[in-house]
Amino acid sequence: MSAEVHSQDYQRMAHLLRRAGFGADRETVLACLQEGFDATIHKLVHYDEVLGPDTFEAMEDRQLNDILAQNNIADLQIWWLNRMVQTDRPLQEKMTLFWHGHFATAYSKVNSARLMFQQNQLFRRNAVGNFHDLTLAVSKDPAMIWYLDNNTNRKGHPNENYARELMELFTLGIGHYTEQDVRESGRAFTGWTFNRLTGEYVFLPHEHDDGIKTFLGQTGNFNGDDIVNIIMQQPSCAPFICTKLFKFFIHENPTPEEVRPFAEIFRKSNYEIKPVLEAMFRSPVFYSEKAMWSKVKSPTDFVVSAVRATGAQVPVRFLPAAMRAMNQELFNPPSVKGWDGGLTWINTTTLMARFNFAMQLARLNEENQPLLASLEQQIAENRLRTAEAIVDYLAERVLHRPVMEKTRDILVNYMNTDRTGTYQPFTIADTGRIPPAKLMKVHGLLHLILLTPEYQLV
Amino acid sequence: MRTTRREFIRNGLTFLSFGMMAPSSLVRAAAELTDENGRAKAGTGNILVVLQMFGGNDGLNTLIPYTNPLYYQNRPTIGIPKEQVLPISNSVGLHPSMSALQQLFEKGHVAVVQGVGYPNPNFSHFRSQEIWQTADPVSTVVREGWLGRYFDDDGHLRENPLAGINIGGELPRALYSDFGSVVSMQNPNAFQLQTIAPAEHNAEIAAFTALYSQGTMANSTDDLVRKLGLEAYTCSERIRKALQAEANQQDDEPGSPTGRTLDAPSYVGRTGQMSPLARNLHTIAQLIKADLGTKIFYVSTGGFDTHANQFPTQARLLQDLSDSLAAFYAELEQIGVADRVTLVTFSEFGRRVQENASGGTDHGAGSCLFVMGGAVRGGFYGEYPPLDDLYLGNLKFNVDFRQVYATLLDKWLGVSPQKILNGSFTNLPLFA
Repeated sequence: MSAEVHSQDYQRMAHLLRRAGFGADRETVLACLQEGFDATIHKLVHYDEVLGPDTFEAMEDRQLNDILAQNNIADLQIWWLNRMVQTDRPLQEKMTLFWHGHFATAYSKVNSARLMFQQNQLFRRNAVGNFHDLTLAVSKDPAMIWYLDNNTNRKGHPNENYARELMELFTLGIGHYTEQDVRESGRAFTGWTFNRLTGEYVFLPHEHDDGIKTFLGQTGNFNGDDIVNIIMQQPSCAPFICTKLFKFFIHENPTPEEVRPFAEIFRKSNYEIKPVLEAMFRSPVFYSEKAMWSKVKSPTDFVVSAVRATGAQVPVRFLPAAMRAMNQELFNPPSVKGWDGGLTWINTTTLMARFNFAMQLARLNEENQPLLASLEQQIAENRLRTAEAIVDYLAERVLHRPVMEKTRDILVNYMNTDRTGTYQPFTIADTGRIPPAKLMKVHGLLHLILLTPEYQLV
Repeated sequence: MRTTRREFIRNGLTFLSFGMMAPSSLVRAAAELTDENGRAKAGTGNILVVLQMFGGNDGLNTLIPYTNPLYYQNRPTIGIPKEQVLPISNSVGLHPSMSALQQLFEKGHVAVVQGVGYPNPNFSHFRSQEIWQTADPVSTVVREGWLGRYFDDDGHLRENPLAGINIGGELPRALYSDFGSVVSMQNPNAFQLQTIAPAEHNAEIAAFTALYSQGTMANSTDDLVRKLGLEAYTCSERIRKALQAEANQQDDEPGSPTGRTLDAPSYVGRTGQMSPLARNLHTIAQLIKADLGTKIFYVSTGGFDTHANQFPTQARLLQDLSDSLAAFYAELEQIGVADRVTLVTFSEFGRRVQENASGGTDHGAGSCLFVMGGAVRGGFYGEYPPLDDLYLGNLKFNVDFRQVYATLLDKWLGVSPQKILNGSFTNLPLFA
């Protein structure tokens, strides 16, 4: 393990790139260290300014059209995973994922890949934009309208599902509104529906209840826009959102005091997301011991970081099933509460799913795995001669953290054990080639690295 | 000694010792509970199998009031003709596909619970499923399921990571608990730690076990991952060894569960293949036989949301249900555990009394459910909901579903239901 990896600055930069993105290799971390933390944070958060418009869109049109026309959600999941793997602005994808879990909407009810994609693009465009604008836009998003039954919310026949979840789960939290507020705001959202054919938001004035409503202490002929405006005036809104952001990026157990400074920034900027993220990535608590390596990787994190680290060309057909077994299906959260996340990601079943996905990844041929191909080349050029060296090389590139002595010993021991369980040093001939029989060991090593407890954390 | 995830993290340091024992304390605990074949030691008691029917099964066409003219008036095209109904009383009968279940009913092993529901019925699939799974018709933010709370309540269950097994992809909310003592698997053969190649298998497993047995000086999240990872492996091994012992035993004994005598019902349906439901129930029977100490099995089957073209769809589904349940019961009898196993079905709601314009029915309420087992007092429970006294066009309930849960918790699983169900509900005399 190179000396610099142990340095505090290196670890902090790697941590930043892991949390604000999907991790980065040694070269990238070093390059970012050269530019400095300020510049790196700026580039991560203000990606649109620094990197210009996203070129992804132009490339994916035709494929996407097929996926949407066929209403193929599995392929859409793969499309998004692919995007996360290849993106040059990973914070955008992470925030898209955050909003997807926050404004939870599930394909199992919506049943339209097109509407789910439309919503996903809404999150992507507003990933680090303005929360007030985003909330209003979500209230008009057809997938959300359908998911929470607002299309059946009509004058005289109210359906309060959206109004309730808007306050309970999306903005304020329980205890900051009354049942009466739910009912009144439900009336304000009547007539907010969408056109099935075009998939576009539609306002039906004749379905809209334009009577006087009293909501959170204010009275007037409110419509949905007004409701969102009034919600944004509530003091509980900023802490509510910032607590979720804190848990997503920093650690799972913030105190209200720890959240307060971020909530103040959020509120003062009128719900601009960038200042909050910048503040978080600069804060001491972000780099504290309580934060570093304290979170369990979400299934998305696990899959995407593994693919990125190995450069694997994963046969995409097994990705949706693997993620379902890990309990995170993109576009299909288990309920309107999204995913609980944190420690709930791991149980005996989901861990088994991670272990077996790791095996599928590790079993790919070298030609589908640039990382293993590069290892072979290193060996061929005689730069790696011992089991220790091979273990160090692979571990560094995958784990991005100093490996515990015990872990290293176990992995080296694995390399030096033959199929009968006898000690057999993993020797590399003078030609530098690894015999095919031993090549399987290298794949096994990659599997073991991906299934270490260390790799489950971020 | 298991703890919730939160407690584990808070008390993190006390678990440093966990890593110093090798093999881990979990493996040791498992050893105390099991014999050398991974089977639970004697006295594991009663087992509950929960069968969830997704979509909202139409109880009115399952348990048919064939002497009631209102039934036929409301269902001119999808009503089951009187002469096709399989009578099980003077006024109600089963859907014609359900002859196997009818036979079981006549032997006294099936309780039919009528008019089951809860106040202010919800007609959204996922909300109503949530209600049945959390046993809470009011709160929308309850995380734990009713069976999860049953696990949490019982110290013994917390020790056994195989206390509950779900056959299926996703862990149902009903089983979700802070302790996470439930394993979810599509099939037990797939719940195995796969290694890169047969030649590497032993070395990989040795390395995996070593990686997951070491304690760390790092944070407690690390330790939790190790604990659960090792548990995943030991569970899979217990299952594998137990089923292997079964397979070996079958080679010695004539007549495997699927190669039964001509009289006994078979899992293999008319198509000549096991349906997914049949296969899953057979798997459960195998796991019961393997005696892993599992108390709760959970399995699902879907397709009951018959908004249109209900006639053929429901016929097929109920045939599958009836045949599979009967074959399951027969296998339990053969194993000799029919008295120790009770199976309960449920669906998130019933369906509207009046048929719709598409030859189907819309979401409703007040459906029936079945409780099946050797110890069950067969017969009728609750009242058949009147067809002339409806709620928004739907049957009214007269048995709160939590009464069924309370009875199962109290009389079958032997635990106090009040705390688990957050209230008191009158038992039904389902058990002798």
